[in-house]
Amino acid sequence: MFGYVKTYTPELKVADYEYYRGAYCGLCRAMGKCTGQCSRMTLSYDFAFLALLRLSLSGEDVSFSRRRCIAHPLRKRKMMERNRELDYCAYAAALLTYHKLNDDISDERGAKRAAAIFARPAVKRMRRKALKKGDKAELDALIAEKLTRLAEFESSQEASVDIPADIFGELLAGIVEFGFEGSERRIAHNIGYHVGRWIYVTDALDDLAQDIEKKRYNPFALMYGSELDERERTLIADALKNELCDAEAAFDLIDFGDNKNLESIVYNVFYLGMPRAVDAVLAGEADREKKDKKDKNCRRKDNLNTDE
Amino acid sequence: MNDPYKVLGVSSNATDEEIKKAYRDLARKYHPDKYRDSDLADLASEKMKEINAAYEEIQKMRAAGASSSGASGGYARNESSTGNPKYSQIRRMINSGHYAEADRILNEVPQENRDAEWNFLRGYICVRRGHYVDAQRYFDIACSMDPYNQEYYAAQQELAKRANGYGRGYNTSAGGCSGCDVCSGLLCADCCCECCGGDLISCC
Repeated sequence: MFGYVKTYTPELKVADYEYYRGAYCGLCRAMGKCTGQCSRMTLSYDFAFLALLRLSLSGEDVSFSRRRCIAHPLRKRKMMERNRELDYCAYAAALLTYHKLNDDISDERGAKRAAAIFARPAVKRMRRKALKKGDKAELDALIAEKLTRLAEFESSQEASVDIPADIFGELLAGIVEFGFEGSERRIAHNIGYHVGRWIYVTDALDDLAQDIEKKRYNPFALMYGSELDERERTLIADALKNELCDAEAAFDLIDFGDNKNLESIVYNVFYLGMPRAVDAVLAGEADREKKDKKDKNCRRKDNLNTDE
Repeated sequence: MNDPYKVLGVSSNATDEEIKKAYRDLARKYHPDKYRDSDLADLASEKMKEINAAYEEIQKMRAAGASSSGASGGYARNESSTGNPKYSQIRRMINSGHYAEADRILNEVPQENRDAEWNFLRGYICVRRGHYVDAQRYFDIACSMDPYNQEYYAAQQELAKRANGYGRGYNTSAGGCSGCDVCSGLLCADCCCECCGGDLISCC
């Protein structure tokens, strides 16, 4: 959905990278099986990480197989066999996509709204499958409630980033902790909450220029005006670092057991991938200030290339 | 109880140094200071107890297996005692992992005889038990009573340094110390300083 929570691949061991790729492909396949082929379009790194995080917490055994798929028909790929967590992520992604789409239809204008309306029947079908096969009515209600509250807050045009970040944090906490009990549930809640807050703030920072241009709600625009100065940028960067510090306390309590692959992937994302996402957003922000758009686009392309 | 070596994540034929390092890394990971503001503090302290128990267990097993070779780790290894035979006995007990016994004997020392070394040994036992606030207090007293003792000073500093910030020891490439490492090191140090009320980098 956002793409900020992903691995920093150059620092990943080859075995860990294959594990990660396998989980990513496995999630894609699970989405196709659980919520229909269309839902595979909504595959994202964030949900791949959610799956790996929940696998670390549940300690469930996983297995891999080599299969072909639509996107890569020529060579068989190693992918994670379907399991409870992959299916859960497929259902959660479907529900989140549906409610996000509803928001877009009511908030957006022009082409984006048209696209949302066009996609609606397919997404509605995804949600129906999640509710029928996945039995996720409770999760559906939670997502609907939090996103409604978020939309209400955003329409009030209040100049605070912490309140909406809080709502988003609670939303993600609900998604990560769903189905867990006891201490795992508490750890999951904590991770979801802080990572959710982090995602919201990062996203608000990333969208700042665009939101101002399109006159959409952005907490930073209301707090600091159209352009951030050095001090404000440092302030936000520190707040994000603090959020990660809080999340670290929860991440460190995960019992990975003997699964070293999962451990190193989760920490790679958390210690390297996420801070780099902030750096990239801040760099993009700095470029905009200099109105050096060409350079920025080049860098984006480079980033994409290295990520592949 | 679980295999103590597994709890510390080391193999059973690891050297004392490796075990000590693993123990320290884990103690830093679950340090109560890091969880001061977290509602997961109870889970962290459980982990801490588990690690302490495992470390104690290993020390005990090794002391029993090689009592003559004097295999030991920890602060109390060099016997710089003031010649008080009772203290050397307590140091031996601590080195072999008999904390409760050592603590009992220390408690028997009358109030007026409790000198710097007494406080140091008491603090050391507290560290092993995960009672860091008490430990810091005893080390501070030991240092103020005998400010030129290197051993007490080292223990005090070591404990203070345990509270480490975000990114502890997470290995990136083996290529030594990159610019990134320097920065994150500084940031960690800054976090630490700020935890203790000071500040290293004033702008963040």
